[in-house]
Amino acid sequence: MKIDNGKVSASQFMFTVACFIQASTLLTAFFISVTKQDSWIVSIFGFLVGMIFLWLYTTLMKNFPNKNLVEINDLVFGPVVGKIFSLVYIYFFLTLSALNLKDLGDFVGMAIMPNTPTIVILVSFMCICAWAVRGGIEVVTRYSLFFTFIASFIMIVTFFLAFNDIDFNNFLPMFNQPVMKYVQGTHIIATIPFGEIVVFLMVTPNIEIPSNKLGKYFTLGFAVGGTSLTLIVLRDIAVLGNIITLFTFPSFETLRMIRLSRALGRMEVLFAVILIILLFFKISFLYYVSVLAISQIFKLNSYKNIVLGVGEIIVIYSFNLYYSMVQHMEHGSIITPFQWLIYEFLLPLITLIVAKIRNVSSSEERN
Amino acid sequence: MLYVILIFLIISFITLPDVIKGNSKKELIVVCSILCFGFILSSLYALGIDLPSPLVGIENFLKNILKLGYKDQ
Repeated sequence: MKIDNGKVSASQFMFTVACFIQASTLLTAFFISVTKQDSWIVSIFGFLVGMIFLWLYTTLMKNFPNKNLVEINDLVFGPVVGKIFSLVYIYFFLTLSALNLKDLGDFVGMAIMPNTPTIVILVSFMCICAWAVRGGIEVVTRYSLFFTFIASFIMIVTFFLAFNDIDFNNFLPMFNQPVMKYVQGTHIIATIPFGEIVVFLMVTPNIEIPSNKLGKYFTLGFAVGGTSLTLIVLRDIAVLGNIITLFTFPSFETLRMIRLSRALGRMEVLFAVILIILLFFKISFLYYVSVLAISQIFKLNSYKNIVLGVGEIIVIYSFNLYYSMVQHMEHGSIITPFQWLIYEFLLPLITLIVAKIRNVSSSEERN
Repeated sequence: MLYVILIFLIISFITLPDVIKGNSKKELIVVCSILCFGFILSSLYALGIDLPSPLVGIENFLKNILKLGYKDQ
């Protein structure tokens, strides 16, 4: 039984992955506070580790071409244990959407509209997301191409405009920190921006790509996202240098430094624009996935009726996640990568191994 | 608190007629329980009661009992 009959074409899928990863590249403070001026090396390592996750997800997608994650769990573990696995994933999706929403609220509250209560911003933002989600997967992914181009364009232009402020001495000293720091940075960056593509397992039945080309488009989108992450980190370190660890939004400060002959200044508004655009995309995708998973687990006929209810829960949940901003930053760089590893690596790996042992795959069922 | 009740009345007026027309009892139960859960959470938020966070709970479990986690700086 398929709830949403929308179709996603190959290039749309590729840009959806790219846009999804680019959305997290703007919030780089988690790992920059750990590895400081060597963060760009760490982001390349994280990209390579992320390829392992990508291989895992592609294999799962190829084994079960017309099933999404909840149906895979039901098929592999049976109805009871499968439901428990699916509930864990629903918790993960809800938490991710709430975390991204909280990031948006923090940013708007700190930088753009400090006097407005955060809940007003979040509720109006969620209303637009709910509108998109009610339209289905086609509406959610349709603008991915456009958004990716806007974000990449702004990123490349600001890279050239920031040339005046770049000082290559900011990269020194290289490889001068304890090894554990590099391991920690790689772990953070592999799980927090890159590993989150586990949500694409939920939309497998809607993707119209022959299974031998799936890996190619997935990897291409992943590479676009990874390249922009590395470029942004390089630019921020080159401009800001050692003081980069002091800021919550390093890219915001970098763009604030740009000044061309008195005419062009205050470029940080561009950062605000792309942050809100990309987070809108990411949050509506995550929101769509959580709504789909919940309606799938209760076997509803349509997901449209629970959209507003789930949105309300996500908004309130985003206020309850952490008690303070400091706790958020501390947990984000110390313990959250381990928790994410459970949902992003361990559970899909167990699913794959059990599917291989029990020899289940959906292609046999079709005949 | 007044706003919470108002918003939930609006949401129910948007959502519930479709569900009732659909004639499926199970769907009505699921939608109503999700709305009730959301209503309880948001009224607690509006009344200023702090709820425990499941995220912090799991992370404290991983950190203090399983001894995972990186050293602080």
